[in-house]
Amino acid sequence: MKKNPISIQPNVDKILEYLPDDFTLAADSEKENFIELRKSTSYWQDAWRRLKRNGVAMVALGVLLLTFLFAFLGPVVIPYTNVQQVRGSENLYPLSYSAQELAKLDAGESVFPHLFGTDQFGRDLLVRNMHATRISLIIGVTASLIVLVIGTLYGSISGYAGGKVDFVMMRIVDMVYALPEILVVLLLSSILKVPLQNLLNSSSSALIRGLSQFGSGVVSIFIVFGLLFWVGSSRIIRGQILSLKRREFVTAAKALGASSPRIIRKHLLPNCIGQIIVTTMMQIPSAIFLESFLSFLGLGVSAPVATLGSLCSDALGGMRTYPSRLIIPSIILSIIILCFNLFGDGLRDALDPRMKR
Amino acid sequence: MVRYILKRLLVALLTIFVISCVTFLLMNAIPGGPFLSEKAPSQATLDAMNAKYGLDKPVPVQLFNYVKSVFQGDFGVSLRMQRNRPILDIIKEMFPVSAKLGIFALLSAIILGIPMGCVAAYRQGKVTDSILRVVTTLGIAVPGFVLAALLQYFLCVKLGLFPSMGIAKPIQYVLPVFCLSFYPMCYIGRLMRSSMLDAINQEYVRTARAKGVRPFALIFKHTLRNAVIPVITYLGPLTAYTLTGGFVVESVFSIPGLGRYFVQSILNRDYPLIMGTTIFLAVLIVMMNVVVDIAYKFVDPRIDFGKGND
Repeated sequence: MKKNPISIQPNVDKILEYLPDDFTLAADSEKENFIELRKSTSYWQDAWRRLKRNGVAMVALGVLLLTFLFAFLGPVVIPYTNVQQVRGSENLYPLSYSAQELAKLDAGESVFPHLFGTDQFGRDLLVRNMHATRISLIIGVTASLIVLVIGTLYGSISGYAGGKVDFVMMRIVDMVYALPEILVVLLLSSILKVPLQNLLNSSSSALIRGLSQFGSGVVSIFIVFGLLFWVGSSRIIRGQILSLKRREFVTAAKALGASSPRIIRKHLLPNCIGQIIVTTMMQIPSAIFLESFLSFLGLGVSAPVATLGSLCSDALGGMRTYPSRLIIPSIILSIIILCFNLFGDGLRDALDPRMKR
Repeated sequence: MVRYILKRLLVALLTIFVISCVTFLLMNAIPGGPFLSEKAPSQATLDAMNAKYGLDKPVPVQLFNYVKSVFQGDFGVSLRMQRNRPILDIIKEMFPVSAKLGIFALLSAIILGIPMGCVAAYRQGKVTDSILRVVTTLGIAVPGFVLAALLQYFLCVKLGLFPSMGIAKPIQYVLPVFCLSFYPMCYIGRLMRSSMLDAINQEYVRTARAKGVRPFALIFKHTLRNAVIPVITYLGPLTAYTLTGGFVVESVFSIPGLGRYFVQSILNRDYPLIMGTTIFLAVLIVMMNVVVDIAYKFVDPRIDFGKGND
């Protein structure tokens, strides 16, 4: 058979004519190259490479990192604090100074400018926005972690057990799915206000005090995420487990005598880590949105703690005179939610190419 | 089919039952009775009041009575907002305003969202598609109250194009309806785009093209019918969104609807009113989900009636 001239296959016809002297040992450098060539890419490297190629997701990630810096590092740099009331500097527009501060400046002292202005109590709005962003981010991440734990546990048990257990557990999911979550959040936050206040006054536990500092609205958001929002992610995890549990490696593990919890922990969950991360990521913006929605209605955090939603809500009354107080937190909030959404989309495409729309 | 409908209705009733029980038990868990105020009434008065409203009976009996009266359409009376006025009366007065706003928003979301998705799918990869993608992504990311507040500032206060408050004149509907419908419109647009893309790539569309069917007829006769099904399933959550989104929009634009009133009743801790309105809205949402589920099965004959789950 005639060989294609550009083919790189060795010429088999001549192979019998080779003598031992025609061969030489490979040099060490050649061996190294060979190993380098065959180095396999792990799941994470592969995903990271796909993510890097997605420009939109990378920009979103960059903006998110900047937001985290803004929220967590910013308050350290700025010489004002969240609750500090600068006398005589009430109701300043962005980038302006009060009469006293101007006098100080003339005297040669340095005064840190109020980049975003101040509110009616003379609190610096730049720092307040940073704190608000920080609390919104903390709430978003915590709530989605709650969802992660409950959803993964429930979904993997339901999927792995199968049969009647699965049927009953999924009917419960259907029921929970039908409950209107915003109504439940509103209901809970209105009810929890008094008991939480009592708990705060009576308890000395650091955790409870830390939680109560955010106010009943935030605690009820956590509760509602724990009660209601896990259904979505538990459905996804269950589906994954259902398709995975019939695979050969599970049968092998069973044959070796591994217990069910061990199979779920060591064999099944690591295989759906992509979905778990993506669904958790997608919960963050919805938690931030829900919190700001509640705070905007006046049911979220209690003063002096502020979140982006409550800053917007406070600004609504003085909108005609101080529009920047409304516009700044609105834009920060929109950017955070937008970037989490875009990054989540990119992450989904990168971690789980089959889910790509 | 009849069995399926009955089954869905039964689940809906069960959900409503659970919601009313949960609401009642939550309200019952609050320390302090409804008659306690700054002036503490005497023990005799309290006993008489408790007896009058049946609060001296054990909790399970109270729960039974409450759920029974809820299923009879009696939600009790308001305690703080409008003292002693039946809650059903208040709902009857306030809800039509919210419903009008909600229906307009729902319709405009559907009427604008579906064509948006179709256009984006047919112009896939072109400039129109990119522009629509930016708009819909923004629409999903920007919270409703941010949109409402910013639009109110720029269009009403700065430019004076619209009156900023109330809902007396038709032009005052424009902004609230837009704010309420923007998110669902964008969501429907995205949903429609992806399902339309699926439909376009089907074999029967190629056959129709090969036969020389005009693009316009192709969209309306062949692909749209198949592609619109996901949008129908979204109608249930959409209703829930318009009802709860109304809380914010009504508060921002000072519209005297049930949503704003509900928020105020929460801030004033008018517990019977909160309970009644919650159950009313929940029933509405649950019923809408049932209607959507049934409609869904009618529209798509491929769906199996027998099992009916998932």
